Amino acid sequence: MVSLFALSVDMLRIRRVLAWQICLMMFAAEALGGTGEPRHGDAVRWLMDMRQAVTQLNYRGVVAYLKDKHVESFQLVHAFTGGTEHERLVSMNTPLREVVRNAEKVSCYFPDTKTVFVENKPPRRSVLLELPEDLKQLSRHYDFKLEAQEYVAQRLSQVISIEPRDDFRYARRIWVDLESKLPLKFELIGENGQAVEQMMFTSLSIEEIIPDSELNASTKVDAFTWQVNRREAMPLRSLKWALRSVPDGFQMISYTRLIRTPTEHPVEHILLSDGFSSVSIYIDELGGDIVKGHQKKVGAINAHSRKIDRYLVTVMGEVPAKTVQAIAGGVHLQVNDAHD
Amino acid sequence: MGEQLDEELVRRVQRGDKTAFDILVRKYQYKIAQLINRYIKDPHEALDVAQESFIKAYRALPSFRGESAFYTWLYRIAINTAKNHIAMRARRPSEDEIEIEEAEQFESAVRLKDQETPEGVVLSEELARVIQFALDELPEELRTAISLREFDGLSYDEIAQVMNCPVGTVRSRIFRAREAIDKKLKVLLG
Amino acid sequence: MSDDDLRQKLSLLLDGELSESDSLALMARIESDATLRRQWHRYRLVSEVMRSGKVLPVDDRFVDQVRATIANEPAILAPRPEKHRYREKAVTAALAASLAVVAVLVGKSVKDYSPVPGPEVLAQTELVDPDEVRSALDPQFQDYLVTHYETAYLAGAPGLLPYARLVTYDSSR
Repeated sequence: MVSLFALSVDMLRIRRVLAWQICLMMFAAEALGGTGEPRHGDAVRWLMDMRQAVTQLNYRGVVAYLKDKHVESFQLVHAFTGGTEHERLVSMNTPLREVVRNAEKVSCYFPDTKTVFVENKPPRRSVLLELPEDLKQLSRHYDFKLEAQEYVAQRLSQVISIEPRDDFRYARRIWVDLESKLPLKFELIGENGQAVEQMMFTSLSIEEIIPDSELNASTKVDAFTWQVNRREAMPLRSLKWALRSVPDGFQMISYTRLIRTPTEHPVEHILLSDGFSSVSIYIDELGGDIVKGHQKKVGAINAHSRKIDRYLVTVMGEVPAKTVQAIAGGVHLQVNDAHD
Repeated sequence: MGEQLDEELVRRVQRGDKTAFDILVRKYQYKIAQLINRYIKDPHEALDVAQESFIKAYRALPSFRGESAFYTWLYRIAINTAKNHIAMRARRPSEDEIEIEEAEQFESAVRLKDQETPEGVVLSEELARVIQFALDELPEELRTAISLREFDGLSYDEIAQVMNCPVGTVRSRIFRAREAIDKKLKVLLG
Repeated sequence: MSDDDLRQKLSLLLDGELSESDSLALMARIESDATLRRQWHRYRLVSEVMRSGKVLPVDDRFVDQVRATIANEPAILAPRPEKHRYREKAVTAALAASLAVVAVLVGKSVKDYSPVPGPEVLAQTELVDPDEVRSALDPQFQDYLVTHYETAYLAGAPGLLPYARLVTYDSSR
């Protein structure tokens, strides 16, 4: 707990740095008096610029994605028009996949299984999730550092390393394009120092305008089974689960109920995040089926399941195995314990 | 609702999150400053004492058990701080805490001697003039809505009943009224 | 959110007509957004003048000075007993009641967490070859995985290309 205090001092420094970006006068004060770690603030600045570039620029490119010894490539088209983001991702090789996002709506096409997942992102109401607040939180649990400059896809980029301050989360390295501030390369680094997941632009062009035709889904869906995923926001007070061993810094982002066609069988979903790493907790009331619990690893994702009473609790996220295990181990039904 | 909000913020402060205290300070700075200004006529001094009250509150927060609402508790600290300040100034230092009843008696006694400072008067008068001017220029329904809110302290639901319109309309009328006043205010404040 | 929406929310916040979650989020934003902060101060100023006919010139320096003093104070780490308290080390702080709301969860410190499997753990860590794992993924687990990919971007992780995982996600294996 002592570390919390030390970090809150650090947080104050971040706040200074962030205020610095808003107010010119404070900029001057910081430049004169800020003897701390200027590179830290610089890294935060790079990340903020990157976040803005990712959402607000028009660009297209090819991304190579590596996980579990497999390399896959996909095309990415991104447009920002009238304050709204449009995005389309198409895999280059079999099996073909397509993801189309229009503002708050995501459609995922899986032609081989003739399935379409449609997810409506609920309105983003929490401004706490937006920068710069976000990075203030993040700096309690990660160290940001500016590293060398390197070329990726023949473009010069700034390498930023994001090191966790404990072993409940993974490290990251991001290569940010000097010119556009887009992330050219991204690595998620596992416990053994090896990348568990990598993404890299193999080509990238920034455009003035992206025609609408490029943003529409190309997959023909007529013969598909449409699986529309419904999601209902749940009031937190109805949450009957206590989470007793959540590593510091993880916050609850959403509490929803997933309703899946055709069975209409509801599953509770709690999304936690520390700003970089996210963890999902699924709680499914078993309908008499015997479901096996597992510790699983898929790419960067670790998952852990356990049975509590008649519920199957599954915790998963792009975090080390011990994190999902710890979180799963701390899930308790509150009704059983409200004895005082 | 406001109390729950405070409760959550207090909980965060008690868990080591100092930024949550900034929010509480910003939320109550006007109320506490006004309160103290009733005892301490000099605005600069009143602001200093108001700040001191918040710092005292922060130091006392570990022992705040939430038995009363945060604002009630803060109000008590502010009155104690103001009282101590006046006592110190009168060279009769007193570190004794006073009870809330005592504080309220004290409050009414001091209020009799309450005076406006020239500075405060000038700013307030000028502001009041601009606001009145802006109010006069507002369309009837906007003026009524903002007046019922600010002068009469009615809730949106109550205003909706009085004005016989949906709450959504009340929301937008009050907002539009504030925006119109704000336009004039921006000119005054530069 | 447009500036207009934001200012309207500010107006609702001032009147206590905003939901708890939105209020917390907006107040946090006020702390980090100078334009919003100035707007908030002007709204407050008008409100105070209309109500009491006078106002003290409170500005940003007030909060700044209090903050500066408190920066030198130790952080408080004394969670008070809560009304719905379950166990000493267990604090699930439910912040507010809607989606995409940030609730701070301070669980017991898990720094020294050592996995002692309880009786409910059906299977211990089972690190298998990735290919084998894929084949073992049941449809429900796949659904969880896709949902996690889809929703994780809500968390706002910068630079993740949130859908990369989705588009390369292979449901057939």
